[in-house]
Amino acid sequence: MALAVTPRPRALTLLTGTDHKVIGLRVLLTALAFFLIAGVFAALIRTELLTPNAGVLGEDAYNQVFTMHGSTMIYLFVIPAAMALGVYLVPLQVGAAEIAMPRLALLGWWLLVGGGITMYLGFFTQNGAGSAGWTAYQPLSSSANTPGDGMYLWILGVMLAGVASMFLAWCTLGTILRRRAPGMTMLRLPVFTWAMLVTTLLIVVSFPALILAMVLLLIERQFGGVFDGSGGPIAYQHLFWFFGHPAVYVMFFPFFGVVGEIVATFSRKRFFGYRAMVIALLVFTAGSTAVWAHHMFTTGQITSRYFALTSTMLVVPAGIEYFDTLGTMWRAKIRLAVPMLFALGFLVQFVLGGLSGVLTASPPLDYHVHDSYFVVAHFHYVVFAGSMFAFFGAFYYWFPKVTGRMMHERAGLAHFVLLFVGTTLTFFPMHILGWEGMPRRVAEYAPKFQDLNIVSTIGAYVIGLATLIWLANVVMSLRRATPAPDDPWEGHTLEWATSSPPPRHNFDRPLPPIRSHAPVFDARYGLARPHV
Amino acid sequence: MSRAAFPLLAYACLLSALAVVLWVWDDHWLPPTMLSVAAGAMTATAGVWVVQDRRLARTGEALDLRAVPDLSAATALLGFAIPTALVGSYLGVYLVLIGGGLIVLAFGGLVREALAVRRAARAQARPDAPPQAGGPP
Repeated sequence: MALAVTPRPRALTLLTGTDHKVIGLRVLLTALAFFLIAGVFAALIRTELLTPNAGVLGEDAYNQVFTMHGSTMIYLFVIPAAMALGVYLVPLQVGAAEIAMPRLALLGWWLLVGGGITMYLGFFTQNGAGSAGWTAYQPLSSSANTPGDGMYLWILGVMLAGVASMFLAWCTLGTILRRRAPGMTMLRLPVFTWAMLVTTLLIVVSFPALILAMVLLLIERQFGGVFDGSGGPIAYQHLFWFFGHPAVYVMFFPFFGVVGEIVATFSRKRFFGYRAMVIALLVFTAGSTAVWAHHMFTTGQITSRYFALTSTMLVVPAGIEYFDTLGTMWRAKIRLAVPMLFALGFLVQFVLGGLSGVLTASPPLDYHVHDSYFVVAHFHYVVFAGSMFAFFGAFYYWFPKVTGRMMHERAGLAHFVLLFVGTTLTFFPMHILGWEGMPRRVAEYAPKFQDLNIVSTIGAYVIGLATLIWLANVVMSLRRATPAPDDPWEGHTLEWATSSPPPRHNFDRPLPPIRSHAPVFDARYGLARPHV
Repeated sequence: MSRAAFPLLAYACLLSALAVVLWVWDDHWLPPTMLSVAAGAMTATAGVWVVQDRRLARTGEALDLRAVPDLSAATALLGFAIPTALVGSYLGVYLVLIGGGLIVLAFGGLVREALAVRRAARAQARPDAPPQAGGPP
């Protein structure tokens, strides 16, 4: 039940509205603004690395720029963008009129904005912004080694952004568990909603460790004595990576869910192996909570065999999910629209990121590539070449639902091709650079690495061009595109059973009967048909 | 028991199993402790969920039948005040004071909203109340 709606000033609604769709859009737009800033930083980093000498930014500025690039992408873009998709779509997919705890979601957005601004205020302080990397390892991040208020503001910004993501996750979790429409049982939740459910569980468990680590880091910088002694820095690493590795899956699961929805829709089939996918997701979630110390193999202070085993075992649930997605496409009449191209791009490129992850899960190989560009290649293939492709797929897929307008297909195709080429040119050479011994987080490098760095930098500029085309497409589509019907793609889930964009309380017509995870598909083709 | 608690319980059980193995293998106390705390927290959350479900089933109360304010200026003010006060701890005490004052104001606003929500819920519970917007048809 909600109070009656009366027309109000648009600015007031934007700043104080509790409608989950408005909040989800605000979080998404905020995250996208930070994405563009992080993209500029990436271009600066790659420009610096065109030549072996640090001639463009200089070492201090380079440290600040790569720290803020990583921090922005992780704390202010990818995780909040995943949460934004959940806040917007999950209530629609479960047939709810509202998100659970909408004021908490609103507070989450405000804290995200506050966290981002706080982090960036560091640039206006005497020693510049935080410059100890997105991990802020001890003792590098101590007040002696990274002096100045910029690092304090970075810590406060990370805390605020972490709390914001937790609030958004609690609202999404509460909606899934408490606000489902009649008939929407747990085993009828759409694939994306299941992915969001396990994502929120990971956030609930792991993000408090980040908050604790940041609080202790503040105390350490202010008073000292927290991480002193031989085990202190290791304790910080344990706390940080207990958040940091699950955070990788927070940046993966929602986008796997997105790809599941897109692949099923454009294959015109139900998602293959739904129950196996649910079990695999739960096992994957638990497993991914117990692998954090593989980031610490080289410290020699952990039980490597346990963390190597758990890390390698993640291949099993990951493989099940992967083959479920491939099985959905098997013998299907696939439509290669732009969202599907991005989903396929995700499937192709994420394999590389996943397989290089299996390599780094092996301690002997990790000793060789630790802190090298191989690791940079690995996580950029996971987060950028993987999750970002799924993010853009989601953008093209749900844009008609959110705005009521279609995006231009040709511009979308150009965006996809350029992004695929740019991503490959940028990140693939980094595998070779890292294997050959180029260390990460350096502004200067040995001249023998220059050729591949030039290729990588050209790729980064191509990614920039692709992003500009995408932005132009968004603006053009909002101004001049054709109106979107309620269900332009013949989708499977409940958000396609309402108007585009959805009304204030989501559904202006009776919901179709919910007898499976694809109720709109059932209503269109009947419950017995597995495919068209 | 509500099946909604099942994913939480399954996750808690899997975490517990992983924590037990880590206790057996690991010579250090911190990693298995962290995993055990996570498993315990998830078990407790699932337990609270089950208890709440039983209470709701017993009383017949439905959590989704709640009045929700369309706009919440108090929440927005709180969201502005918290970062202001925090940033003030490094950029100047005056910001802490401003932020602190705004936090007090915001809590006052939240209390006012809570009272309004309660009034709306009571009015809605009356048999002669008009139908409200919202809720899946």
